[in-house]
Amino acid sequence: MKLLQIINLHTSFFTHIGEVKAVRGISLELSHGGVLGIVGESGCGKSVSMLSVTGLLAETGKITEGQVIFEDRDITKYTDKQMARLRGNEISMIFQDPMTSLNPLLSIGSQLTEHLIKHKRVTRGEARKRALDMLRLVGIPDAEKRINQYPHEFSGGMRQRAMIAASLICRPKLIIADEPTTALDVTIQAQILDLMKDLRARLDTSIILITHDLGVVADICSRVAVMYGGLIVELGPARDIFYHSRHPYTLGLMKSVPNPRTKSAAKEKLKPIDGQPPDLFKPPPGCPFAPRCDYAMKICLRAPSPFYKISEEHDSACFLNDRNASVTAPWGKEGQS
Amino acid sequence: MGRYILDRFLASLLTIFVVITLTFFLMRLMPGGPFTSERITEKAREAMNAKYGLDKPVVEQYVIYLRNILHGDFGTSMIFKGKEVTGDIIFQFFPNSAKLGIVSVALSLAAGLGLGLLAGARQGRLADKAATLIATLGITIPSFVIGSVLLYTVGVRLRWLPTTGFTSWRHYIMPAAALSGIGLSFITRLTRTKYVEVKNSDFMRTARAKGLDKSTIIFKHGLRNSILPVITYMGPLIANVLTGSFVIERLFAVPGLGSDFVQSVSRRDYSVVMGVVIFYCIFIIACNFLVDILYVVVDPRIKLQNNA
Repeated sequence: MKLLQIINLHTSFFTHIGEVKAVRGISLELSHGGVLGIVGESGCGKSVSMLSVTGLLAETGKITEGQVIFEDRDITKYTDKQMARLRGNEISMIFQDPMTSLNPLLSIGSQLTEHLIKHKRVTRGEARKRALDMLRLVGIPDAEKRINQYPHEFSGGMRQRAMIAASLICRPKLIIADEPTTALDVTIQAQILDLMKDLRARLDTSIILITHDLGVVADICSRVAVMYGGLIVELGPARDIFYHSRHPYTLGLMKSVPNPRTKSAAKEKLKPIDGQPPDLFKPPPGCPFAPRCDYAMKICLRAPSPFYKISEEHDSACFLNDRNASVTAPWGKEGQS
Repeated sequence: MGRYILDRFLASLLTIFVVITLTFFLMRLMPGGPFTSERITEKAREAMNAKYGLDKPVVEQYVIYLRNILHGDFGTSMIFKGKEVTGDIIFQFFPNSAKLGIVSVALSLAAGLGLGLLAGARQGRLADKAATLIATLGITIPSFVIGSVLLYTVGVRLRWLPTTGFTSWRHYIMPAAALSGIGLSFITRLTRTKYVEVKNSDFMRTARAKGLDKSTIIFKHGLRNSILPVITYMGPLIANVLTGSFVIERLFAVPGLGSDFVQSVSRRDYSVVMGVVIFYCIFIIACNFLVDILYVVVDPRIKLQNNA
């Protein structure tokens, strides 16, 4: 049994100027203990798809089609109350900005224990004991003193550690981390990622990591989904995505990451992807990336590409993978099937 | 903290001194005196002036007054002869104004916070528009109009509540409601504006992501973060409402300090005016000080200290 299955999920926002189709049919699977990375640029639907899973969409947002199966329960059918029993308990979230994600008026201890007391019905004393253990586990020194302090007395990295402690305290089966390191210094980013890797192994939790930072993905994820324009364009094991990508968008993303090993910076200039992401009020009928793609064919503008199976676990939604493609793909002809 | 309180105390003494001085000389600048309108002979009037020391030069009167109040002697009323300013007037009538005021502030606070949260949560919907309308009406309709309408409908026509007097809890309802219009409006607007900002903040999303109950999210996380502007406003509101309203006390025949104060000014009852002004001054300073303390209780980021 899979831990999480997302089947053909569509999510839209209904605004006064029309419907924004933010997620346009994505399917994903996550097995127990897996770490899945979802990458893509701002506005590609990666956060919205995960907020749909947890039922935390803004008031204007709605799942219009598709199912989310958690273990064997279809949670798209859940009521608010049922979802609340799941959130923070079996599925928890970590957000981008630890400076604003904690309530400034409540002590760290209270924010670590309030959901534990609600979900697990433990006493205050027991909750406090577990909170202290958790603070030590996430590497916050002097936990007895820190537990009574307020967020403004914590540094950015310490706050994110506290957020992680809060998300783990109910021992969830799944943690969805939405850009957990984006707002932090580079050195702190590395510490937080190491902590997450370490805790995942120790507590046997699955993780979905949303990020636009490919370095973060490479570091921690076993599988990667690349999203663009509300769709998944490529999905596969991290190694395949990084070294044998079969989608021009993924390749473009890769080229826009600086490589410190290049000898002279001038030799290999960073190459941004030209053009603008698609307008999700009127999503294009074809591949959302086609207008910006150097290899686009006529068919790319007309119909969305189906998934081509590259290997057992690697799929790419790009017509270049078709053996009848008229254009030679950047990865060469031999891979076309 | 100790240093802060000491500094505030010394600053308050200075404020009170300035208020005493200004009020004393301004009262003396107004034409007429306490005995101008009494039908007595010129000789008797001079005798009265001499009795209360009003025949001496103004500066000398001022020095004498300061010396007296430093000894705790606020004198007696010049109109209601023999009545002591503190014991027979202020402490006699202020409790009535204060009791009515407390009920009114509690009403403003409960209704204002509730309406404000409701409007903020349902931003742009019908409930929001209704709450905004109530807030606008509360601030634009003068309290005596609200009072008169209540008196006529609830009191005279429906006979649900007594129209005048101040003996049972039922007497409090109408004057308190009439008095709470402005406070309710301000608190509603302040709460709504802040809650609209707070409800979209990251920590509210965190609270929802933790699967907390709706009421916990709204009250523990939302309300507490929305209440600071309301606390700021509570200082002036409490001072304003508890010191009594001349109009409302007159309308409902409440034996409060508000109506006495206004009368004492128009009848040039110097000693009563001075006593009440000093009392109000201390009361307002105390209210503002309490509000500052309350900040620290609600928001751990605020520390009391003097930057001057």
